[in-house]
Amino acid sequence: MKNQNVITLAGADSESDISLLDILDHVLNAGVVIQGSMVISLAGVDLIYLGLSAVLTSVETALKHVEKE
Amino acid sequence: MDGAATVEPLLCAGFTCWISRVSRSVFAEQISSNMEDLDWLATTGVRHQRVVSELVQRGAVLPARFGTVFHTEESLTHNISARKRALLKSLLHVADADEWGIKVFMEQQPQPVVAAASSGSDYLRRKAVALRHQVEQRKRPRTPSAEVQKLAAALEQIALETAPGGKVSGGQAGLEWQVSILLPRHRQEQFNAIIERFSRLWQNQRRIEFTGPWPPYSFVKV
Repeated sequence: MKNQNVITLAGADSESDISLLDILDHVLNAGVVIQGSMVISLAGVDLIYLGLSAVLTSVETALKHVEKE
Repeated sequence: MDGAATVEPLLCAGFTCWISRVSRSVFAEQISSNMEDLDWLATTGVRHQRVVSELVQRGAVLPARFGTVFHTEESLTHNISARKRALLKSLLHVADADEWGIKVFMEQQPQPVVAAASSGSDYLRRKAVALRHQVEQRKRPRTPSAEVQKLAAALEQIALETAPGGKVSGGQAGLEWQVSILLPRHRQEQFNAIIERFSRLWQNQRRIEFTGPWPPYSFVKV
């Protein structure tokens, strides 16, 4: 599949990680719909936000330890 | 969307709906817990993005919210006909425009130099200082600085609409401000010029990252 979506990341430290975050940012920005357009769940998105920032933090922490060694 | 079923067109009420047949348990009953599974979310989210960005190349598309599931073709057709007028209005609004994401990062301040600790308590004290420094770096001002507001104003002038940036990457270190804009394609050069102007102005202070063109995810309100 041709991926037309040009992702421009000026000076990004970790291109692939940030691209995934950006994809989820945009894809999930309008919220999530469950079963037709009846229920809009933003709570789920908040949980994901927590999860992803926790992942980022642990990656950063791991990198800092490596740098110090 | 599940990686196995194809995406197929379905004509309903004068629109073409692009659908994929998925398991009711994975995409309806267990969607909440699946949304918290980062691997599932990442894979399915990227798949969603690939499909929608492919469709956008063929003409104006209104991306449905992630996880939109109809139990039957009839319930989908019924829903589309009931919202026909609003859908058409929204479709015209996003036609010939793209979504762009803009993020402004503070350039990293120099880290305090950590000398070798002389004792255990000295080590802990130093570690506490370093942690506090990290936490402070993560704290972002609630209202954007006057400088960032200038960028926001410039973008608002050329955008059809703006929306707050997404929640997923909100925790990125150094992120000061983010926004999504709906940019008419004929204003692409003006957009590039604004980004270039502010990048030059903010050299060594702030860094601008922008992504796009995205399908108009953040600007579908129906």
